[in-house]
Amino acid sequence: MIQIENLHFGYSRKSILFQNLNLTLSRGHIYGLLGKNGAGKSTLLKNMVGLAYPQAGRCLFQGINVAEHSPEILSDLFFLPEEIYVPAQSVDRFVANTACFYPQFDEQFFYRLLEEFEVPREAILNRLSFGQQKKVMISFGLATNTALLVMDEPTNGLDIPSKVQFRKIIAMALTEERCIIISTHQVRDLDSLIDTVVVLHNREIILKETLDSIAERLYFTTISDTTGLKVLYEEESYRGKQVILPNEEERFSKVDLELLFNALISGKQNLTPSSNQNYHEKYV
Amino acid sequence: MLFKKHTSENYKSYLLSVGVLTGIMFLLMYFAAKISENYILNSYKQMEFFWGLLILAGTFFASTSFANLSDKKRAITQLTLPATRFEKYLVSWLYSVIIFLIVYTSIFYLVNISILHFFKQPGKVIKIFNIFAETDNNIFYSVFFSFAFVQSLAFLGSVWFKKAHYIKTAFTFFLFIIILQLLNHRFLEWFLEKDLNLALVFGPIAFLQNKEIVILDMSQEQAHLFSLMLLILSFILWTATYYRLKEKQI
Repeated sequence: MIQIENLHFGYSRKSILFQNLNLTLSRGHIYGLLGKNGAGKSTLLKNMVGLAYPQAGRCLFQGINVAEHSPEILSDLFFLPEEIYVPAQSVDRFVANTACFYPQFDEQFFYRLLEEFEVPREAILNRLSFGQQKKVMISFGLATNTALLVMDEPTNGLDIPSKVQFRKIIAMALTEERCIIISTHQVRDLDSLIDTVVVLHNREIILKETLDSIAERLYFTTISDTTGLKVLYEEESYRGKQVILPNEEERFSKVDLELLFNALISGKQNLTPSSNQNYHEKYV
Repeated sequence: MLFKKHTSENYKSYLLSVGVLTGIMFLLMYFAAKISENYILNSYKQMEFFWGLLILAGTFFASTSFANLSDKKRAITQLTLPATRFEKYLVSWLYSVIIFLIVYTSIFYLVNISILHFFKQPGKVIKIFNIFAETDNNIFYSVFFSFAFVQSLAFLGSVWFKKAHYIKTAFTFFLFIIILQLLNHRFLEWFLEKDLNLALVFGPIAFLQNKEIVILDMSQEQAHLFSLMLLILSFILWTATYYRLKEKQI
């Protein structure tokens, strides 16, 4: 669905953010795009939706270059930025004026999501709190039923119960026809939500792999003593040592995204299947 | 759909602007009439008000056309909305040229008639300036073509600059005019092999000959051609605005 080919991008010629970046994203997945602050997550997303132009390479959505800004493409993708703008209108009026641009918009579903988020439909958008505004726009984005839904730090501004609701709602909205990309630096917010993790670090994608595949390769656990173990990465915690081990005995463990992310950005390249020659062909 | 959405989201601020413009116009024309001889604004003065305020209000309004794009949040919403960039451009152009001219002209005549009625004196008939009847002596073209030119400049400025669009566009324009004026003066002195007292860009030149000041100005036809040139420049600037909008990135 999304194909990024040899992307070169920088806001100026001197500061290059991406060099020769390649990435393919498919329907039926919820991707979690992880990266440190300033890693270029938002910029990568903007390239994907045609808000930024690559210096070289291209971003294709369903085979069409997003830089063309054709209405056909724009009506099949929805981008929710980190900082959102809402007009001084009621929710109803906003829907009446904007939903018509998205042919697959499901109004009933939108109001159901609003109810779920406990946002009154007669509310004036710009008078709502930032968190409430975000809930309206998340609901709107999901109700557009676009094939591609891109959300940049969607959980920023949401309180803890709302984050739980958010996870529930996203899981509800995923269909085989849809591709959802969620970018965040708050790794824990993606727990039990995404199925594939994409890690952006030092101008490149250092990992793109499904959680199932990671769980097959790596074992995440907390132990007090690591003597004699082939530890790939460890972190001290109040419960003991949180460790990542090779999953040689094919045991099941839940992928600890935060631990994995910390391990990856600390330079533990042995955590990626990149030693496998087919990695780039298979995953990226 | 896009026009309806734009109107629905902006009509309140547009109505407020109409109120402010009416108020300013009324005050200026009221005080001008009050200090005039016999409290009369003759049709020449009415025309000056029409033209002057049209340029000021028109450029100010045009400079806000794409100012939203400087705000990252609003720009993302606007640019990702499923419509072509040309449609987005066209809605702003319609508002800042066609709708603005209709609303401005209506306000002007409303205010002008009110002022004339307010200072009405028995036995004196004052002619109301009619811009649409001024086609014979070139005023109609001068007014609307000069508006089109400065509007297109402000329109381009609104998408070109990131902040203080109006000030920056006006500053750039005046800087350009000063440089052009200096070059024009030097060039004409070299070309005519004379010391010139005055040499305005697309305007009259003046020099001393046999101890007398000679002034050369454009003929009526040349003035007409100059107005036409302003319109052509406007089309170029409107096109440049579209391409600037098309390549806009966040």
